[in-house]
Amino acid sequence: MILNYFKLALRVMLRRKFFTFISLFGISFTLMVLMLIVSYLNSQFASTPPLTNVNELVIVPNIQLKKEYFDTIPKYDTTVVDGLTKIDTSFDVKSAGQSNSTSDLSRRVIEDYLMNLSSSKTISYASNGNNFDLYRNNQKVSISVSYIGPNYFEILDYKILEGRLLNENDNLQSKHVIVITHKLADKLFGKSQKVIGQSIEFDNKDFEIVGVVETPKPQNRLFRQNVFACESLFKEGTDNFYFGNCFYIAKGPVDLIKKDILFAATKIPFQDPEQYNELILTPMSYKELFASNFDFSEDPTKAFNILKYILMGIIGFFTLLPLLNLVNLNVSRIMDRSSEIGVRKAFGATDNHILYQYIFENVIQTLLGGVIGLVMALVAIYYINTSGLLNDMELSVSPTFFFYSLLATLFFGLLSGAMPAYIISKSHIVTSLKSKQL
Amino acid sequence: MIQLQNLNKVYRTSTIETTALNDINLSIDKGEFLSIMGPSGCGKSTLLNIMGLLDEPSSGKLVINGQQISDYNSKAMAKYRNQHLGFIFQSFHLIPDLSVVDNVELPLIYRKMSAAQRKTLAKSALESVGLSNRVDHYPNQLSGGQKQRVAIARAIVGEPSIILADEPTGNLDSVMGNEVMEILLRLNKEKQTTIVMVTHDENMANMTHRLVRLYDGSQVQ
Repeated sequence: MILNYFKLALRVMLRRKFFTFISLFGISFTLMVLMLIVSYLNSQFASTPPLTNVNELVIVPNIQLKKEYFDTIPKYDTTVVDGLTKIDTSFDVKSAGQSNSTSDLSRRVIEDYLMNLSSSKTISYASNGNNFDLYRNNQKVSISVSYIGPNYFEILDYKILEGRLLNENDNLQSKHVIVITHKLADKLFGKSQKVIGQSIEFDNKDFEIVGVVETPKPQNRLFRQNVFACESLFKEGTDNFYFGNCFYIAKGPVDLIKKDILFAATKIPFQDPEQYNELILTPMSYKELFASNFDFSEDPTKAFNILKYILMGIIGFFTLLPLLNLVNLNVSRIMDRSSEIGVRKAFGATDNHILYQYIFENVIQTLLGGVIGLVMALVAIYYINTSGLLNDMELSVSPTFFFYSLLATLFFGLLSGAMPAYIISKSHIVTSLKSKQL
Repeated sequence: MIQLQNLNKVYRTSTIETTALNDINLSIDKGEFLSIMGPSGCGKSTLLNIMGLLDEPSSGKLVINGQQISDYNSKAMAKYRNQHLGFIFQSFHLIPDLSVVDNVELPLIYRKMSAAQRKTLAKSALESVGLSNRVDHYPNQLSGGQKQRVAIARAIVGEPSIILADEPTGNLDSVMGNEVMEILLRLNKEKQTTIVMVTHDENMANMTHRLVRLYDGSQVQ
């Protein structure tokens, strides 16, 4: 029966070429866009280097200091007691404003309060990028340097392409050695030159390149840096200077380490209680950090949920329009074959036989559209990745990408085919036979 | 074999009520070849559709082989049609996207049967109507007579005990019409298949065992 349905599906597609072209164009274009979205999400969140530990990763990106000011407002009310006018006074305390400061974590806070958390397996820290401009072959190349603490590359496991990563010894001896990303290496030295052993100068010092790592695919503030140096070189001696972020790999549940961090925050004393009297650390997962870029909410979990719903809404809306169009096309296509339904039912097909047959046919057509969409998506991904069209964005193709693409295709096929198939399966035999479409 | 008892069919719309069949009582024996005649709109096809479980009567009983079929649910009716009934339509109703052999296989698809077995039976049915050389053709490559012979092959492939033919020669010239009629007569004679045929052609009707005439939904002969 399946083979029969399959043959019929192909014949119907070939017989109605124009209709098939319109349907396939709609399906493949929609699926291509959905696949590009899947690819983007995959490149941002997949558990692959440097985010192999993405599900256990917790980041404290900054420290927030607050002070709320209050005004006391007196209220006067007059009453008459024993024939005499008396004034009744009451006071309202109202917020008169807030002072607020958000900055990178200082080394003192990191080392004294955030480095000894029992719920974490690995802890490290790194500065946010310090920007410098280099000049090579009369061209300006901007670099962003991150000074990283021990274990940093254990938490964010960048893939080494050449040489080695920074180690404990480099840090202890404050060696002027760096690791750079491969895209920067290409920009500085071209693809053919040897990179290891070369030097670059920034911050008035010479640094020797000891390793090249793959440029990470995710695009957010965590991965803007393209040069990694030892944290001991960071503004040597300035312990209280604003430094950067803290990174943790959770031993158990991520929420536990978040609680530990929040508790640690209560121990941090205020340097000047007159200026600020509230200190907030906001530990967040990688996904929450990603969502925090959009400023939806101060609460990272809430921000992530809002982003998730917005994304689902966009995908839903984008899918719904072509889906409705396809349903409409399918209804007219199936109605065109009304007489066939009558014949099939006359010879013993039940409503369910008809329903499954038309859903199957639609899934076959959608799968074909899915294959075309996949080819289009792969071409688009190749173009985006090689052209640097979208701000150096690199989309990824992985088994997850293929799995979700197949899922999207099947979902699209079932959804667009189910309603028309249901309508036609319920049609009356005699009415169908009278349509004389055969 | 087929008994129609006090059968009525009324079509109702919000403004009008049309009686298509009025108190039909008819008994058809096993192996009988019955023809139904009457002017257009007299209810011939409606009667055939009700006998073929394609339509439901407004009142009355349809009994086939002692079973009151009109009480069946739609799934049971579908199964009954598949196993006991075969249809031949005036306009052939072949599926243009399927080859001749795939068209003939159609009733067998809804039975639990292997593809190879289906193919064998379909080819054998095509052979019996003289079309074994047209197996892989498509309906649009056939003449009207050939199409109707394919439709007959489709109707007999499942070896039904009853064949219901709605003006099977209506779209054919007299030569092809006679060919089709010969096949039906042979089928009735050799396999004792009960055949009920609606026709406008007096000559064709005279070749059958019995003729029933309808006028304005009522049986007049």
